[in-house]
Amino acid sequence: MLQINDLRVVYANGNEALKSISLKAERGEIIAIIGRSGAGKSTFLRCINGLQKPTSGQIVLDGADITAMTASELRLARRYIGFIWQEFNLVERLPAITNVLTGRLGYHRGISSLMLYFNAEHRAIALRSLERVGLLQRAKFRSDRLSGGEKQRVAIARAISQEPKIILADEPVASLDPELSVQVMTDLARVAREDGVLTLINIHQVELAKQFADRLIGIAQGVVVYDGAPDGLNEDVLDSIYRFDKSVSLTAEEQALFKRRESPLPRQPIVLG
Amino acid sequence: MSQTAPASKSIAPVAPEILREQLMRPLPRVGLRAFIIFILVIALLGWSVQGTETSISTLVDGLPDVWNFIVRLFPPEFELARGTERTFINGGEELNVPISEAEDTLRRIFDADQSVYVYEGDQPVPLAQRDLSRTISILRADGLTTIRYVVGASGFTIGFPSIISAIVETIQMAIIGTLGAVILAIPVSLLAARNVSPHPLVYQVTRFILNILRSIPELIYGLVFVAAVGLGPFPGVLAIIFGSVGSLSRLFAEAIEQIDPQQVLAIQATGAGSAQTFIYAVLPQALPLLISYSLVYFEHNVRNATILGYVGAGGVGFEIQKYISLFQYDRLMGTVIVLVVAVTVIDRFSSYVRSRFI
Repeated sequence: MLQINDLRVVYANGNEALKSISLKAERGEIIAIIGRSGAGKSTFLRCINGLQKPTSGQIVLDGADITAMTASELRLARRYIGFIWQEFNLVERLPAITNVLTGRLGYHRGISSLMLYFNAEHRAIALRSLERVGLLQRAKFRSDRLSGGEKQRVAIARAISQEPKIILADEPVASLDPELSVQVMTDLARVAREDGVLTLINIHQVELAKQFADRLIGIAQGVVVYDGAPDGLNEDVLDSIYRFDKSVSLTAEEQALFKRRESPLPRQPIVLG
Repeated sequence: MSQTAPASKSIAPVAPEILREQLMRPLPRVGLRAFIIFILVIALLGWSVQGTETSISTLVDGLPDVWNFIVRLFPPEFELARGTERTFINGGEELNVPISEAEDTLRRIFDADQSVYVYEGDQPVPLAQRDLSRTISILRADGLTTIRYVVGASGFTIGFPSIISAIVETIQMAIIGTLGAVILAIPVSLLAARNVSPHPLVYQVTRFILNILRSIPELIYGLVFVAAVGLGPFPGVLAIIFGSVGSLSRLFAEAIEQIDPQQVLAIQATGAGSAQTFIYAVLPQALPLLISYSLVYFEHNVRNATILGYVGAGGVGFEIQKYISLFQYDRLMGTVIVLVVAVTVIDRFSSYVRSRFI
């Protein structure tokens, strides 16, 4: 369903974000993409919905090459691609329900859409989406009054109200505390499974990735260094993803430093007065 | 940008002992460059004083004339007597009668000791028996075939300061003028905002045109439009539109430049078109500032519309000019007092509305 061939992205400043990425993904898969900051994970996702133009390579979604599309074709394609952002990117001054309704804009053209008019079908889809992330009660709240976790769940509702074929989530829980992260990831994975939507999630927390994804892809220095089941993620693989430039062993001094940090701090008597 | 450039310059490494010595100095050391700048600033100020013939002694010599002027402002004259009158009627029965029978009919009613109001246009006017024939002949001269009148009513008449209608006209000019400028400024500001402008060239050209519009004073627009469409408030409205649209577009553009681009990106990523992106991502973010700037310009235009009367473009300015040229300073003062009250009320109102939107 999604096939990516030899994707390469070189920025104008000469920085090569992606060297060569190829992969195939099918409907219903939940794929976590892990890698260090700057490994090119975000660039990769932004290529898939056309926010970033690749230097070379193809991205074929349902038989159509996204990299070869004109601006208007891309607009049509984007309505099938839900995007979830690290910083939520809700339109802060609009109520939650309107933010979810913006997920319907791709299906609702014409003058009436510019007057905040959405027909019953669009509204029903948006309400259902909010309900599925458990936030129907927050529908009329202005988005800047929602908490971080609520914002991200509204963003998930916005994405699923697009009735997407694919959801791209770029660090969806990086701005949330660990407990909220689990809640948001649970919601995201649940709706993705219920709808059978192919979901690509950039994520820093390897534990969360293992817990929620069917498949892990490790990206380092612009290439795929691991592609497989979460179980196959052993120390060597993690090293190749996260510590590829630390192959040299630490000096004795550095080792001592690490040792000292590992040992608990010595208890010091508290002196009053 | 202007702040980062000198900061990065001053980061050049300095030996610690020199830095310490510099920081310990109680007064900054004045270099040659600072001294030259100081001399240049003094020269600039002196040059400006000379050029404008600014002189304390001239002001002191003129003080008696100022006092004389102030004395003649009092007591203020509100022109109540010469003001427009408005008649209010309570109850009564409205009747139409052919104009040929009007006089006889009305006389009969007067004999029955009832009060009568006759419509002059839409305005009911109390009629005294002795004026009856004259009023009927005036109405006949208007080419009426029937007259309307009210019988059996009680009524009263209130005199308004005539100046109020001129001030009301000024405010009406400001309302329509500001609205027109806002409607024009919204699309123009999209071309003049760096982050949403379709092309850098469009941005530059729009900014250039706005600068030209902005540098022409409202009074000049007033003169032009009085020549084009004649005397009255309408050329004033056009002058206000053209006088505000340049600055308002620039302020709107700056408000749009401040929005969060990520929220725009998120809407575009749903497949929304450019008009939809404007409505759902740009406008909600910029709206508080747009409303605030519009209200500020409304206040500004109420004050500015006053002066437009000077060139015959309607409003209270015409009255002010008349009183000054006729040396009727007491009436001038009456007008100014009413104007101050009106402007204060409007400023308060618009501050209140603005506070609700920010």
